[in-house]
Amino acid sequence: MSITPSGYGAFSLDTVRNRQSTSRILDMKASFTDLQRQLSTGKLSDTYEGLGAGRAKSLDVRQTLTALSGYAQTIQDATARTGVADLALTRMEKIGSDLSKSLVLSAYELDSNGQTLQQKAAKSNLQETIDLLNQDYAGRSLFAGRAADKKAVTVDADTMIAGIKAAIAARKTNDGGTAANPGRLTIATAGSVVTVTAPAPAVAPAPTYGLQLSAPKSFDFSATTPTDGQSFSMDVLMPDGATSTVRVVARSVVPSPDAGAGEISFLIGGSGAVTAGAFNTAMTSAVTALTTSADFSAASSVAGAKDYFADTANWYGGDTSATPRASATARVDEDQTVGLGMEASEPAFQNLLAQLGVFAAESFSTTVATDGDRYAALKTRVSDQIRNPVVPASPIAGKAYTIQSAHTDLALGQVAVKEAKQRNTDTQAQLENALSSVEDVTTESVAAQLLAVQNQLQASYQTTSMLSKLSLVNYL
Amino acid sequence: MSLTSALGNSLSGLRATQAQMEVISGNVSNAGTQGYSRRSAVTVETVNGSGTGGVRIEGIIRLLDSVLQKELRTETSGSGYTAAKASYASQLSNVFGQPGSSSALTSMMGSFTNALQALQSDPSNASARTAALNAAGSLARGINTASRNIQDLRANAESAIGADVTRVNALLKGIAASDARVAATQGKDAGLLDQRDAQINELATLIDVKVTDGPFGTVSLATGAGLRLYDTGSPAQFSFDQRPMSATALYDIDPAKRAVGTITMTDQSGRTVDVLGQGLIRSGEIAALVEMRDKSLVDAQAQLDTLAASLASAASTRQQAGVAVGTSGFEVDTAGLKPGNAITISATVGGVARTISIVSLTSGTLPANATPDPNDLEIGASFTSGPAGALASVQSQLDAAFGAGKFTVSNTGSTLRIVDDGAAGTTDVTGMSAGITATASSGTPGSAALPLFVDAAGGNVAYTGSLDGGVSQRAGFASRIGLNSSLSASDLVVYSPTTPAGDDTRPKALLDALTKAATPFTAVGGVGTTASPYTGTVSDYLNRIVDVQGSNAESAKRLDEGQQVVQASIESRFSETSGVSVDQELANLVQIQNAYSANARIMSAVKEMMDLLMRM
Repeated sequence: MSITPSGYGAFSLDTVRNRQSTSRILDMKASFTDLQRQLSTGKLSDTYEGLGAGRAKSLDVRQTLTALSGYAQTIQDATARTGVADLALTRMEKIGSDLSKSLVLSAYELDSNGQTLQQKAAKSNLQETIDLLNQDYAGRSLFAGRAADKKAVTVDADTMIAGIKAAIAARKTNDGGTAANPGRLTIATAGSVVTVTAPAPAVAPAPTYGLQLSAPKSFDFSATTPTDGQSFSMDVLMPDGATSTVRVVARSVVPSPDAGAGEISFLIGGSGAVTAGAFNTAMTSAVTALTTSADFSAASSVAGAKDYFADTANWYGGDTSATPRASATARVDEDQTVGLGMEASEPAFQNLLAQLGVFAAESFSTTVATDGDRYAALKTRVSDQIRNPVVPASPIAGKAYTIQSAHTDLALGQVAVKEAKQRNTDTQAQLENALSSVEDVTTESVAAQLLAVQNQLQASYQTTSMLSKLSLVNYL
Repeated sequence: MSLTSALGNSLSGLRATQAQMEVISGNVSNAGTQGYSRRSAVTVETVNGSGTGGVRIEGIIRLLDSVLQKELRTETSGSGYTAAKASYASQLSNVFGQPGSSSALTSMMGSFTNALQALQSDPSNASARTAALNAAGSLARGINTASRNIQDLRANAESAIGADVTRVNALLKGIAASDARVAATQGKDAGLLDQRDAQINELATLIDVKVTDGPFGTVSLATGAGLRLYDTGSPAQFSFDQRPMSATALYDIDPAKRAVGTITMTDQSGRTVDVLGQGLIRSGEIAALVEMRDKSLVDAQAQLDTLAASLASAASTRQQAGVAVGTSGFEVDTAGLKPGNAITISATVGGVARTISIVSLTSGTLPANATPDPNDLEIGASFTSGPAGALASVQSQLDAAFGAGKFTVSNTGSTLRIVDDGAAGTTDVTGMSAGITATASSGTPGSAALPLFVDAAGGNVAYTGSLDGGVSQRAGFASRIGLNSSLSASDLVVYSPTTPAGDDTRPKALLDALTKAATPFTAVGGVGTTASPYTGTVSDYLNRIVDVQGSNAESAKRLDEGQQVVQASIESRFSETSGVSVDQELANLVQIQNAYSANARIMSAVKEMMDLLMRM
């Protein structure tokens, strides 16, 4: 409380006393008004000056509260977003599992288009999967990575199937190779050594046709002569990446009475070179047998579908990044960022699209005797690859190879968001208390102070009025 | 003894009581007059040859405690100082708005960071982009407004100084006139003394005044610091050259560089003295106004400038990382280095970690503490023709600081390389980076840095912190900071032609730069010290400014309240001696009335006795 002295001069005792008591009363009146303001606003002060020691706390707490309100917005947004993505992923999982279940019981009954019931269902499932991948939340594409304004899948099921068909046709033309190079392998004999080599892989996204070997394979007959019944095998990679084994058996008599069903054998010759020549012929037939099998045809079809999907320009409109989860983030706390992004180009989604696509793209004919086997091989492959997608030996970290793993990532994100929400709510409550303790007043204490000032003021008014009457002037 | 002399005595008594009556009536009538000090009639016995010859009035004196009067004047100056300071400090604190109000600068900063948070979680959202851009614009305008309010306060102080100087001149002339009359009456006329003292007291509210008594009741006046204000017959006269105010208008003792008004005293011989430059006024309202104009408000502006500069730099600075060259050096690509940008080199010299800052400086000399880091070696060099043009200068300054052969600089195109003394091992370069201001929203190399805020005074001029030609771009930047008008909302996200719409790189970088990256701030006005600068985020720094200014206002208010109490108590004590109390005067009146009656009674008794004698 201040006592306003005169600027200068006025030294009359009465005047000074009068003025000083007036200024005391005015000060009391001012504090009365301020208390009234405190009571009506609930705030200690309406200036930073008046906050006193609590000022720094008020500023810092307010800053944190502002940030928390931002995080709360983000959390709300992230929760809704993950909800939508969760539904889409759940449905995709179901499509996969339903298809693979129905394939177990699928009968080879073709309609007029040369397709089974399950194949037609696969087509509508493909369209549904495309729609699910194109889903957006509040204008943001959920499966397009950072290209949130783009559709994840740019084509519809028909276009996709047409593309897959073309890719399968290219596969069918090229995968088998020629009579001399079955499965595009080169089987060469040099002296008593037979070497099998695969052509160098093409540069992606151009497809690498034919069979592949993990390494060139050599069979040397110079030192040891094979014994009757000794089998020679070679692991090859089918066009779709699955492993298959080609086996030939050495025989002293061809055809051998001991030969098993479908055995391809070669005659053990008098010299290594002769044996090698026979081996070459047998191996060529064995590889040719493989490339004309229903299994190879199915693998070729699946590979065709993969070829189509390998070039994302064919169908993917989104952005591809090294870490798809980080392509859409929710910053739920100062130091915690939850990745919620998904990219349709991740192997998991590509695989589902490819399996549905290839299954829907193929057609069969009752007039072709081998088509029954081809269908069976295709359905086994599709069913297998939906249930257990091929995961390469060295998977790219951060990308999902199964829908389940993408779903797990999302669920972990949901949990993190939820935990952050709880944590932030708790922090916010505490900070609001802290802010209240420096900025707010309690009604009780203000009311008590108000009463005290009111009493003082009344007493001052009374004594001032009494004093003013007490002058000798009135008694002379 | 005779009846005649008795008659004479009582007659003199009547005269004396009449004179006393006059004094009392004067006191009562002037009870409310400013500067009036209580008078008292001094009566003395008139002595003639045979004894008492009655009473006479020797004079009318002022009842005044001169020690208290001096004290009161000192405190009056103090009050003038604290009152003006409290008023301005409070207004300055209010520049930053009310706690929690949406117009407060801290709230605008909060809105901007919130908008960036929203943008980070949804970068492709067009309305989130626009909201962030608008919030940035509001923040820039908020800083402009705060800067303008501070300059308005400085302009108010400037014109108040002008008005006060005019008043000081008038008062000094008035004091001179009164003093001349006091001298003429040998200091006997209480009214003249009161008139002069009232003017001195008023002067004391404006300026600190030391009064020295001279002969014949005259006085001479000087300020506490020895500035002569008045000597008999010659009042000092002051002039004030008021100037228009701006953020870069500062006081300088050199008249050529001074951009605000100063108080000049011209003495009788025509010599002029820059009173402010010499620090000759230390208290009173003028001292407070000058302190606000040249220190407190300038500091507040500098704090805002630092805030604005940090804000602009945080958004626009691209950190170009250095690359190790073998085991003995580092190199960094300086392409795009702007004046004011710095290349920072970490090194150990003789086992002690050192930081070397090479600041791009096109012209002029590098001022001390060009970077906030108090311990770095600061080198200024011109990069106008790339590192090649800077090599010689940098090398010679490094040699001067550490000795020849300790560090060697070289360049390949725009890449600057620094290598240590290699095998000798007394120096070791451990790191290098360059902070380069981005001037376009996208470009090569694509980076998250965005020139969101620019120096809007000359169009969209990039803020680089240039120190060229002795002019700091930071000075007054708060008044010029603006949103880069060449940006569109999409630039808040898109930093290269292939940036996907949902890429949160840039929003995240902007948000982190504002709320996460702790950087040191140049110490100014109580936020940090030069030796230990305040380190925090841009948002934190704003909070500290508001805190410091609030605290300044609060302590100025406390000081003023304390000062007013002190002054009031001295004033009360002073008034007890020299002030008029009507009660006391009336009590005296009763006494005088009685004395008058008694004297009259004696006269009538003498008359009766005379009559008795006549009837005999």
